[in-house]
Amino acid sequence: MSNIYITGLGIISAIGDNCAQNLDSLKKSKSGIKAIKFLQTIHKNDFVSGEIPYSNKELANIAGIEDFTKHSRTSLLATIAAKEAFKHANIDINDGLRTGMVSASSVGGMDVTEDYYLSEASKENTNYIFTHNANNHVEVICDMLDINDFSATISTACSSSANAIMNGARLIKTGRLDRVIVGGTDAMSRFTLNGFNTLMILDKNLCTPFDENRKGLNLGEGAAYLVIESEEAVIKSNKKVYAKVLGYANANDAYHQTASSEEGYGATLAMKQAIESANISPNDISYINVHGTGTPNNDDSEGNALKNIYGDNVPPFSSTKAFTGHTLGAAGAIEAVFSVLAINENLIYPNLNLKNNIKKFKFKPVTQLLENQKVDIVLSNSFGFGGNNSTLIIGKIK
Amino acid sequence: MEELIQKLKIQVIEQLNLEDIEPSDIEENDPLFGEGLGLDSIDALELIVLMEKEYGIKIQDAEKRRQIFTSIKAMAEYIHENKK
Amino acid sequence: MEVYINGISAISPQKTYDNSLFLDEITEYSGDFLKVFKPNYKEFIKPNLLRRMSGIIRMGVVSARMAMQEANVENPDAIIVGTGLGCMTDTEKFLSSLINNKETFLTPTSFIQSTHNTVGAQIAVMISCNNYNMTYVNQNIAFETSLLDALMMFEEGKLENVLVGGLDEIISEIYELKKSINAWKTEPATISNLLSSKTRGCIAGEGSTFTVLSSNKTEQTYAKFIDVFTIYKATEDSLKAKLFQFLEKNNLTINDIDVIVTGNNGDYESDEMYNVFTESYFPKSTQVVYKHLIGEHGSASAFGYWLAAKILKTQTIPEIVNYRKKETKKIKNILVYNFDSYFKNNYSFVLLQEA
Repeated sequence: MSNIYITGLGIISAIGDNCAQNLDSLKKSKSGIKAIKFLQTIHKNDFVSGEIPYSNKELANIAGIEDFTKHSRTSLLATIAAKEAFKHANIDINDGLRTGMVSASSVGGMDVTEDYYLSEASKENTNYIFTHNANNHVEVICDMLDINDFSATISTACSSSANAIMNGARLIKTGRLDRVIVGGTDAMSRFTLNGFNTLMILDKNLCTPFDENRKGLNLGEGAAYLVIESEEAVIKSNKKVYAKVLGYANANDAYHQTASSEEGYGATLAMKQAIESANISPNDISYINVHGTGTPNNDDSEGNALKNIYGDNVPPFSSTKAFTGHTLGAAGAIEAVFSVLAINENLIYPNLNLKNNIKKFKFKPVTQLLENQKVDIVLSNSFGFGGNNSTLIIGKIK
Repeated sequence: MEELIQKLKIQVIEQLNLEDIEPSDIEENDPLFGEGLGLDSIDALELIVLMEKEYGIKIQDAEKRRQIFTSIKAMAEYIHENKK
Repeated sequence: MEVYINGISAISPQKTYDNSLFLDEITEYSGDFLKVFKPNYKEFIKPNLLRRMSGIIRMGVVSARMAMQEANVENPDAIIVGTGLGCMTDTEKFLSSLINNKETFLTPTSFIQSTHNTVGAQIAVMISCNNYNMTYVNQNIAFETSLLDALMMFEEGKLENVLVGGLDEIISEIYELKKSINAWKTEPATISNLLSSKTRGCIAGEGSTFTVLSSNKTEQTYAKFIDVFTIYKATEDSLKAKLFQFLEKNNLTINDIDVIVTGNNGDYESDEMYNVFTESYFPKSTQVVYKHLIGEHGSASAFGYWLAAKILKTQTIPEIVNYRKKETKKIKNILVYNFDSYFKNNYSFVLLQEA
């Protein structure tokens, strides 16, 4: 069982432009969810979101991209996070190691497409046709960072980037690559905001994950990447390592297109199989970063899944979606980055906005930041539409 | 009311894309969800849009939803009472 | 560890869903783009589910079921799907509704059905499959990336069957958009003259190909799936190096390839590239083509895979696809080679072998 080391992190979300800023906000219990400012929507005043407080032009500046009009917001976010991870991992792309990229997005460049499609402007400007696809950002980044041994793009809704991390790890374990930049990205769009609104699962106010009276989720946006490397690669380049990918699994609820089964069957399977793949027991988990979107359905289903595995004695757990909003395709990777930070900083994050625990569960999430914690192993859940349930297990370097 | 019920049947068939179903196949008192027409939660959301778009009626409450959508007759009665 | 192709089903613009036939009846082009020759979807999907399904979901679900039926598999260990553009009908429907109705009176069905992993998810629900379920969306190598994922699964553990699929749909709105960026042929073409065209552009098509890969050989077995390779960018030299590496890794030389299946699609620049590649490295192999029958789309190369599997099983090559005939006694190894003709990127090799 070869080790998969995490050697670099990059992230941009509503709570920070990079790792340090995200960590700072997490430590200060400072949520990034507020009124919508940049997205042009008639629902501007109806919902709050984890929108990143920069225009596309400002994002392009941060990304080091000259012409912001040639890129989707999704791609700009991805570029920022990928560059940070790449730099953090100190990658020399010409060192002979086989390097790939596996990324994910749920709606790709839809943020641009929806501005141009059917509009007068589209007669002059057809660039959106090229930026639309979910894998466009992968090409942009591979071109920029000169990654060309392998690339792939996954799209499985809200579990997308967790799956990208899993896929990257497997490519290393099966001997095809030495290191992979893995993660995902999604920007706010009218398409997703309205889409989720038709499902009536948005909370008009700050979301309350795992609360008895929760109303729904807040949408967010962001991107996050991790650089993962094989043991040999790490030794060869004498790399600093931050954590290990210990295990992972993907299972399907096979219940409904958008809703999760009440008993959390798929979620239970994903968690169980991930724990098994890591060769640990459920009680070895120090902290669980739950999917915890704050919808009545998810938190109920996920809660039942936790109960299926732990009974009433669930390890410390929290949802960080009240910090960032639900970042869809980026969620798995953003939360993986948070997991690595938790391990290295000895933190367990608070589950914000909780007023009343879910009555039927005897366990409850952590509601205050816990410091100086022994966080050895973190389990992170990401559950997407189509019953796509993924779990990652990340562990401390010992 | 009869006219409304007939109209509603056609609108429901169209909104939910019930390709092989004729208005005469739907009994006004038959359950819409579970058995009868066998509609599901996605259909419920579609019907909510139908109510707002065609009749100006906004349905926010989940509990209310269950009562209103029990049958075509129930829907017609609710529309009759609340139409704007 | 051997991986066998035990079931395969292609729904395409030709009558290919019936596996007892092998391109016996050919349908000429009509209209701007090629839509699939449909089986009777009602035989496979209950009305309650069918009513919500757009074209791509219908063809995906049905070709998946057909492949599973053929392989006698009810619950695969994994469902892995590749799609270039995903569920376009529903994406376009929700998007245009959003724009035209200015974000009011929007309905959920098309939003839900627009997510890229809808087909994989729908299959899982219909057969109650709780196993691994993945969807790749990296354009015209999404299907090949799915094959790679499946191959890794076999390498990793004791599984029996994996369902893999590649599918894409064409709708008039997408046709028009791509027309505006000169993707398509502007002059009319026919099946017999498309591949001798001297202009750029190809013909738009759609289709769904699903296959069941197994660790066990059976009477159904079509062929062995040996290996797959994908790369985003390549020069002529780097591609040559990758080709040789790929063959060497699988203990083969260029002389061992009996048939090469290439993605010639009528775009004369790319077709030239395919032909030069074939002439240079496979001068003794038979060259087989297929996109003149099914058009071009993000998952067209999955049809190339179908063709290769059928050729290996029947040991025959239908005239209509036999582009450059060479003397071949027994067909043992087939290489399927494809790349994106518009961008000249996303190259793939798939290697199949007689079982």
